[in-house]
Amino acid sequence: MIPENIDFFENAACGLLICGTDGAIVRVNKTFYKWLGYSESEFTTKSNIDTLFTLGSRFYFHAQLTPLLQLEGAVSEFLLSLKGKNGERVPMLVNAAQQIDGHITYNSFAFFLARERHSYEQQLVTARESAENSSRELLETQKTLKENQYFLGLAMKSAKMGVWNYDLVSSRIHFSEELLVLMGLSKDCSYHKPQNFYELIHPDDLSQFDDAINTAIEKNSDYEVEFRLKHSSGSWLSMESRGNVIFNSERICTNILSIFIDISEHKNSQKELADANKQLAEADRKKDEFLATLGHELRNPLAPIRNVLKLIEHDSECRQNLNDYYSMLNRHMTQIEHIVDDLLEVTRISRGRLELKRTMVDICEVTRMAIESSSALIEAGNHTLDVTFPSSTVMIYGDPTRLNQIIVNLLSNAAKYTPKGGHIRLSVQSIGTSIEIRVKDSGIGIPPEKLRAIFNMFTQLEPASERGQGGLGIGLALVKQLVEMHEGHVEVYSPGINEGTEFTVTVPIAPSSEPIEQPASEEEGQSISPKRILIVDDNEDAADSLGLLLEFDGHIIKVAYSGKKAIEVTETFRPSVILSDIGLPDISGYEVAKILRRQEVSKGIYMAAISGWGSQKDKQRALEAGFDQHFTKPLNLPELKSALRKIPL
Amino acid sequence: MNLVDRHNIKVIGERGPVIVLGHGFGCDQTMWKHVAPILANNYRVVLYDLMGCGKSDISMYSYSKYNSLNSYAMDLLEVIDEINSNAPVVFVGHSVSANIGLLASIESPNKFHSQVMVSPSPCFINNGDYNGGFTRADIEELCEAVESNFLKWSTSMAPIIMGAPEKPKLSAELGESFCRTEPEIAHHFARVTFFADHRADLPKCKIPTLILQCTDDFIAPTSVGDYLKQKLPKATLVKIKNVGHCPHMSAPQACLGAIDDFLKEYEFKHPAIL
Repeated sequence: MIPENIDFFENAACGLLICGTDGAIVRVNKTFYKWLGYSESEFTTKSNIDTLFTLGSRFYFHAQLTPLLQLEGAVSEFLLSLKGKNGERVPMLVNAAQQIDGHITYNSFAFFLARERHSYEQQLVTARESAENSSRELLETQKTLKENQYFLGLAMKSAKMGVWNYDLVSSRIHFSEELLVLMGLSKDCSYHKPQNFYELIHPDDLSQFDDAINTAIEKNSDYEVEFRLKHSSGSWLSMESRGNVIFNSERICTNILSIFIDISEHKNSQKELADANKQLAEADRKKDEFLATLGHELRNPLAPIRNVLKLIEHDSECRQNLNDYYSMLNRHMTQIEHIVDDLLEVTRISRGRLELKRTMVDICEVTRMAIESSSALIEAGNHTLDVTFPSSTVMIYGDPTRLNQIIVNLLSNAAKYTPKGGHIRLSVQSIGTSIEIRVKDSGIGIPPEKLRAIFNMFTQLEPASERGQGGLGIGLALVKQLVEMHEGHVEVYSPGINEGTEFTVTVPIAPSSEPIEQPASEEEGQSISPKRILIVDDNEDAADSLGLLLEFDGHIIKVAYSGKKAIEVTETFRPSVILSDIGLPDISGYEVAKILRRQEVSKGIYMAAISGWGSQKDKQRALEAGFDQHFTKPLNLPELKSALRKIPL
Repeated sequence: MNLVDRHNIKVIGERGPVIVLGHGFGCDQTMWKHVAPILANNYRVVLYDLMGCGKSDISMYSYSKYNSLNSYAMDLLEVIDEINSNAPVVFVGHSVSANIGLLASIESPNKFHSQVMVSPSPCFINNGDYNGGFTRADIEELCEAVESNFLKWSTSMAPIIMGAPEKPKLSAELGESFCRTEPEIAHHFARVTFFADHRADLPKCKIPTLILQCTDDFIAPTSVGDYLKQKLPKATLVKIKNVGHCPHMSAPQACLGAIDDFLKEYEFKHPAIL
């Protein structure tokens, strides 16, 4: 029951105030003036609502609340500050309504203390701000996630990747959008069924695809497998699958998760690369062939020149000036021969056709011969040469010709790259189980950045003087290859430009148990029994000049410029020795040998092939054709003479 | 963006010369509801909302641009151009709009026949001999009151409290009311309005000006009306017996009468009638 006589207006739960439109207070309730700290008697002095507000609120009351009240007839929830009895600020929420009673208009106001409300609002505002911030952060996170997804998708797309997920529980295969694009499939395709998907795998690759997954399940490991996968267009994609297997808590495999990578382009480019490599190798082979041919072609005209030189040497005893010409020609000739020999050797090495004729050799002896061969060049440069040998003989198991070539090359190099009047030091030293051959010069040196490339083919420095021969840039490459064929190594050291250079060749010393086979020393002047020799070569000058040289030794010479001619001449000339070129214009040297060997007339004839090709295979072929021996061009005259001496009469 | 939408321009009255009405702080064109229909009997009456107020397009609002009343004056000139009057107009501005009209008429006097300033104040803050009625601290307190009343939640909080941010219609209804202003804009506009000082502009105004001064206006005391009368070259001061700052709402008839007398005196007629 509601108590009777309760003064609802006076004791309402809010402050109530009625005033005229001019603000003159007509009535106010107890709650209101109590809130402001006044007693009833005190409050009657406050006659206008204006005076209740703080100045700012009063301004606002006029600027905003009053016009709105007039406009709308009512306003609500205005927060205004009122002044308490002691001057304190009392924030209140104000609701107002305009009431027209006949001709008089009243404004009635309801006030609520806003301290609690105020703090409640502040809390709400704070809560809202925090909610807004969270929502903003969430949006940001979502945005970032979306971006990352986009980038991942982009990356997958660019890398031609897609995700493949075989759900073993539902027996369905899920494809990421990227994978669908790669396969040319749409989302609603029928390949989510495993049996349908497996039909897309190339039949030849199916078992290895299965094996990879089965092994991964068995061993709980990652797997990688390459296979061909059919694109919706019917073409085959080369795919790589990198995946792993997922087990549930009962250790049953539930998913096979894999990244598929379309490696078709990679495969294609691999093939292209292989093709390109093949072409390059072919081009390289052709280049080697060309260089070999070039060498041969150069060698051919050189042979007669060399032979003629020897003839001039014989005649030079009578004519002094001829001697000078001779030595000049000889020096240059040696140089050209040297270059051509190197060229031939290098091409033989690069084509795998060089074989070492290894024997036990005294390295000091080889070195001495090399010094002799290089002396012309060293003298021409006015260089001094210091030579140090070990106190005892050091034998190595090697090819004397190649070893000679190594040292000659190093000495020529030193002479060439040392300014006139320089100093060259050659030392041979045995260190442990190796022999060390050092060639040190006071020459132009090598800049550090070029040191690494110095053993590369066709690498050259500017020679020390104009006189220096340019060469082909193959000398050191040849040295390196020859040294390595001897199980050794070569090193270069130069402190820098104009600081000289030192090459060190290290090759193993032969084990002492190895029997030392001393080559039978043969004196040049030893008497030779004259023989009837038929020389077969389509290079007429070469044939003629070799003939002339051999005539000096008392042999009787005939020459034939073709294979058929050779067979013909053999009938009449009855040679005891036939020296035949292999590459003849009509029938090859092998043919000549075969034909002659079938005839009675060839019985007892010593036949030697002289060929630019010197591999074991070439030699074998020569022997099979019927030759007794095979000489490799350039023909080593002392070697030939020695062979001739060994032929029994 | 068309200017009509940008400023929520409304034209009432079918004939006669043009009167443009500019509202004051904290409200919009609806505050002219007692005055405009009566003026429309003889004039074409143009109503518009200041940028950032009422139903103006707040996407065009910029804090840097609307940092002084000059931009509002430029808007007024655009509104006058938009209504395509081939004769000068009369501008009636309440409170802050009186200052906006002052600036616009100095910028383009040819566009104005005359102006009516309702409860104007060129400067609210006392300065030397000048009695604007308030100290700087008072105005700061006012701005605080504005800020606390435009509590952020009044418009934008509502949908979140209602848990209905996905129902824009509901939140629009909650937020929509007369004279609603975006809280941040209201606060900014209060500072621009109440800290303004345009006393130095008054002598530059060359058009006839009617000052409507309330006899008891807390915001614009009578001393301010006297000051204006003294400083404006062609000013008429009429005191309206009224308590408050909005005589056009609480004493519309008195205002209309004074305006009528003023326009008669300055022969404001439609060019066709001349």
